[in-house]
Amino acid sequence: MDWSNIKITIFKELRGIVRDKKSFHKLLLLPLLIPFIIFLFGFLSDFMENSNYDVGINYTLSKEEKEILKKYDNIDFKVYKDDKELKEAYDNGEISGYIIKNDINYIIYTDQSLNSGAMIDYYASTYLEEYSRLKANQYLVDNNIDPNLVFNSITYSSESLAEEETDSMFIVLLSLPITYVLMIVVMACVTVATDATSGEKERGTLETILTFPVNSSDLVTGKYLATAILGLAIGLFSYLLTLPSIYVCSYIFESFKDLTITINFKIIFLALIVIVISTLLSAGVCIALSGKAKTYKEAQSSLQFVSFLPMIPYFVKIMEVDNKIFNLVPIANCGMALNDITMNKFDMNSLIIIFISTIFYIVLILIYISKQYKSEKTLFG
Amino acid sequence: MIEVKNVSKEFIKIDNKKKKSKFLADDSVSFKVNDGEILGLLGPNGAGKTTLLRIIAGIMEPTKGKVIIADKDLKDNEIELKKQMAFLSGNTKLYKDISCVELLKMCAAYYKMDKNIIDKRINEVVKRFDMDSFKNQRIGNLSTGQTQRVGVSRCVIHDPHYYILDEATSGLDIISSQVILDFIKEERDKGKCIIYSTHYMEEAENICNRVVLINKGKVIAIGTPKEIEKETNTTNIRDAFFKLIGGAK
Repeated sequence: MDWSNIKITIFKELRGIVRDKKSFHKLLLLPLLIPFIIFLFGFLSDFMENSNYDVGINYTLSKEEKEILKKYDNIDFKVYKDDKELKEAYDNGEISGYIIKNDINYIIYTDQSLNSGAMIDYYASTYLEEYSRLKANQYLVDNNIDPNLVFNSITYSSESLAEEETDSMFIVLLSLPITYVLMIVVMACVTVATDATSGEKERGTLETILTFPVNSSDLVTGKYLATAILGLAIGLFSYLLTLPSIYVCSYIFESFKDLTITINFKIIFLALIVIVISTLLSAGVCIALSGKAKTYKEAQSSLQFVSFLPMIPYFVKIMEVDNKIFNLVPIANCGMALNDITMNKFDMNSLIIIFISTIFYIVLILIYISKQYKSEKTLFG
Repeated sequence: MIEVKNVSKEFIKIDNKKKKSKFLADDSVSFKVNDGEILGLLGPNGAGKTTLLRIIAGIMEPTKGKVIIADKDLKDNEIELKKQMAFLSGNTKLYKDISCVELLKMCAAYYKMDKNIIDKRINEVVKRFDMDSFKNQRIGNLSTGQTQRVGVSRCVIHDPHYYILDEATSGLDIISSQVILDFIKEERDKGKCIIYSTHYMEEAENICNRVVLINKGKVIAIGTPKEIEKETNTTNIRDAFFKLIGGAK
């Protein structure tokens, strides 16, 4: 290994990327979207929870119904004469849904593809359920039957097993920006690796550099490290934007109120390790795959799927799959670890498996690319 | 001195039906180039010139045979010998997003030149190729002739002893070509060892001490232009070449 040649190659590759203004600005813009995404998510969550919904009805609310509906302060009922007027009011946008009562039958009309429709359906069903229960209660009392004997023949309650009470769906949604951090790392690696390998081949500069007194292994190490350095810089920048953004949002937005983000040395240290090893692996995978391609375009298309690997943990979280097996899936396992570390819900054994497996993959990929760059097929296409 | 000994290079060809077949780009090629000599490597496109020059420059390995430079086997002394070599081809391109001076500094660093002499040497080269007016411009903004001058200057920055030039004047106007040809002659007169490949037969006849005619990967004649013309009973290298391959004028 000739470190001076490696340093020259790293500098050459990084200078190339920084001077390619389009690619460089794109890489800088991606992390800057993170605070925006988190703030937007907080704002929309609050907005949805605090929105008022106008609901049309073709009947007059009874005293009991009014009493029940006092709890639903974000629903306003408007009385219309008949079905025709309700439909017209809905079509004109005066109301977001309506309920038609016919004798003892209530039909709730909403468009559930819209958030307002889903919310109205939920609130209206809950209120009618409660009203139905009240009516049944009254009937039983009128007939001298103890309602408890009918409705409370058994009792039940729920107790949370979670260490901290946080909505699981909320955590899943919050894992999106963390997943995005690793996607940005991979995207940065893809940009540098394609430019350093197939880009150099396509521009005809690879032959120039091969005439210099440089070993192909020094050359590929320089290209690999340049890819990793930029990926790491972008990854750390993204993560450092993510943590404070979530932290600040937990003070600003109501819906983030229950979320506990612990920022301490241990969490930051573990997160940094995960970002470093995932970057080293992503850089290796990108160099290996793009080195095989003859053109820049071919390299980009062969690397597209790598950008989606960090999405796997997100789906694993949504599906609530037992994720032990995913600890061995390269890049995806790092996404999972970063999620768990950020939420301070990590299992040290899983982290150790992830670290060891990733280091193993890094070694394998480095052996592969050092051999690949001795092949004339790779160098000359 | 450069000595090419029985060099063959085999490639795998894949046809439209994805059937693989082997073919020899160079077949047992042997010749010597002395110091203070320009050896012309002449042949049509696809004759195997570029592959051979890549092998001599150490950027490709031969399937058989060896290249001896300064009595050392290139395979075993690649890095050391590359420090004394320059390879310039019509196909090799330069980094467009850096300036000429930045390129020369990068090359000097790869050649491990002494930091104290780099700036002085760059000034010499810039002056020699009349690049002062555009030395700080990005290479991507230069004309073809200016770019080729930068290409030559990056080859000479480390003052090499061995030049491997592959169609170095291809696509250039006569003024830019002449700058390069004059430089090659100057270097020859300084005792440098030069291999110059071209398919411009007349150009080779003018500047080369000896020529190697190559066709379909095989050497078909070696000698001074006069010797080859005499052997083939022709008046110029072009006619000699056609006579040797048995083709039409």
